[in-house]
Amino acid sequence: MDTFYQTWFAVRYVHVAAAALLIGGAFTTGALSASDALASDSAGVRGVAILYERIFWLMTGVSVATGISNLGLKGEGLLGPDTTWGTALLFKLSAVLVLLILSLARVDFLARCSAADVVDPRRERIALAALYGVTALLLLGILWGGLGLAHGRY
Amino acid sequence: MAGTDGMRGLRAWSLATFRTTSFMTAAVLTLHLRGTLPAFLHRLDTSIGFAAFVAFWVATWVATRIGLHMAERDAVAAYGAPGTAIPTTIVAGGWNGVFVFAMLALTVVAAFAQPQGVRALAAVPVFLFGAVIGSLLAFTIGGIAGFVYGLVDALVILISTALFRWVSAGVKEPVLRLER
Repeated sequence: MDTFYQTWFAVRYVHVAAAALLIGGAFTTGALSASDALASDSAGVRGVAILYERIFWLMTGVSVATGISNLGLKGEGLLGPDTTWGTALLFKLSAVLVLLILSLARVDFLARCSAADVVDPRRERIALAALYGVTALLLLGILWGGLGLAHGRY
Repeated sequence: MAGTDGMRGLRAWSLATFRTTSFMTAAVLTLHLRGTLPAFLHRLDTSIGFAAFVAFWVATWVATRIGLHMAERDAVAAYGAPGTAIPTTIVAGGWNGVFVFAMLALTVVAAFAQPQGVRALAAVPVFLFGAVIGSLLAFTIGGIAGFVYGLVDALVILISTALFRWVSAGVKEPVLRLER
């Protein structure tokens, strides 16, 4: 196997691994937020969320870098915007932008809750569960699009 | 415990990564819509592309921190209300433009000077003139991008503020202490 395919394999592996961490982390954080087991521990739930956010933004950077690299390595397989493949890529990239805006709002919300003297713990957990649930769903949708693009679904 | 102190680094980290990744994604999206993405990516080597991405990420992180410092110095509650962050994002965007220009200029200078050797010193005044003009242009272009990001920040603040108001259920909203 030549260097080109070794590089492409490594890039795709890192891209998929980053997506797995993003989705798994969002699902876990959302589930912990929704769980009754941590109902009396708002700070604990918030701590898990903050830890996830640190990993999320690192993995997002890695994911976008490897995603662009993956597109570059496709060469002739990179089709134009007037094809179904191109339309699918357009939807995927747009979904990524929506995810990024939602994620920045998530961090800002966490910052506000951390700085506040008093918040309603039940509502905070509901909000966090909703935010991380939507994040996980969006990520699963982006993964669907990415796999379709990589395996000729479109 | 995850308090405000724990959020300081995360704020700069998340903002810088958001700006880097959204800018790159929007650039790829624009190139794709114009049908010029394959030709653009074909010119880039994988390792050079990664290096450029990381350099842009670091430059954006530094510029974001400058913007956050400015917000604190001027006692602006940058995340207190939508729109108040725009001056800081313009400055951060301007510096980001200068950093990116500096990296590109240094690459060009290195490529020019290496084969020329000592004779390259004769071109120093030209490079200095180009650096001054280029930095001013880069600051302006970066500032315009920063203004757009200020509008995005305002949208983000609108969303998070609405959610926080519901969660705090009438508790007076605090003004965040920004990173020093």
